[in-house]
Amino acid sequence: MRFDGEKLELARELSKLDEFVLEFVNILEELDLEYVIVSGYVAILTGRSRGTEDVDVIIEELDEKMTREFAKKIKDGGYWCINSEISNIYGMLKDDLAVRFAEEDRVIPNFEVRFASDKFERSAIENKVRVDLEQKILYISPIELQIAYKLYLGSEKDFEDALHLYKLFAEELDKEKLKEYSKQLEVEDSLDELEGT
Amino acid sequence: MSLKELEEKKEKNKKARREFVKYWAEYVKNHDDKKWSRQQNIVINSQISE
Repeated sequence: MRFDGEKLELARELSKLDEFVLEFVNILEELDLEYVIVSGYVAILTGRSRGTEDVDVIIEELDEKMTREFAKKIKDGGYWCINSEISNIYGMLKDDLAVRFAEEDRVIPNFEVRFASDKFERSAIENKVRVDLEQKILYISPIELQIAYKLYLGSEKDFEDALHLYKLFAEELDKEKLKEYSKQLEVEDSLDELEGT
Repeated sequence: MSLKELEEKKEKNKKARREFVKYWAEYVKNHDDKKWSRQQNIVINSQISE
């Protein structure tokens, strides 16, 4: 694994989850959509030893026409929407709700997709990290933001995800950036705890 | 076992889990991607049916 702050090169053996993710983001790439994967899958992709039932994906805000095109492409790609009619997802996304897509005849794993609607989600897209994985490319949130956001979420599982990323990328992390994100999310105490663990 | 003892047990378990997370992160950092991912995939793939 090699990480320089902007690009992560991984030569891991692909898991079934990685294969699901690469297939899904391929659709986003075909539509030329700006996206970023956040939360648990970022930790799992980089080695955290746990599974997950969903993969969180933030996409740029789309207009209604583009959302229809996105929905059609998703449906044609063999996915269904768990929590809405696939034709009605624009309203949910516009209301800052996530829509969940799974492969037909499945419920898990699924992709929880939402529009970038706050400064942290927009920052995740603007400062995304490119991951080179088995000759394919996907984009994840900046690691510093991911750690701070996991601390913000606050469960023990989230703390462990943050700890994994913090220890794994200890030498490459931009500590000032991590501090700044932690300040903005008001998790400076949790960051102190993480640094002392 | 009292609730206090139960709480202490929970705290001890939390610390032990965190120690393992750190140990595994070091392992991932210091081993070939194929070596750690082959082990991790046993955990991940077992949760996903064909």
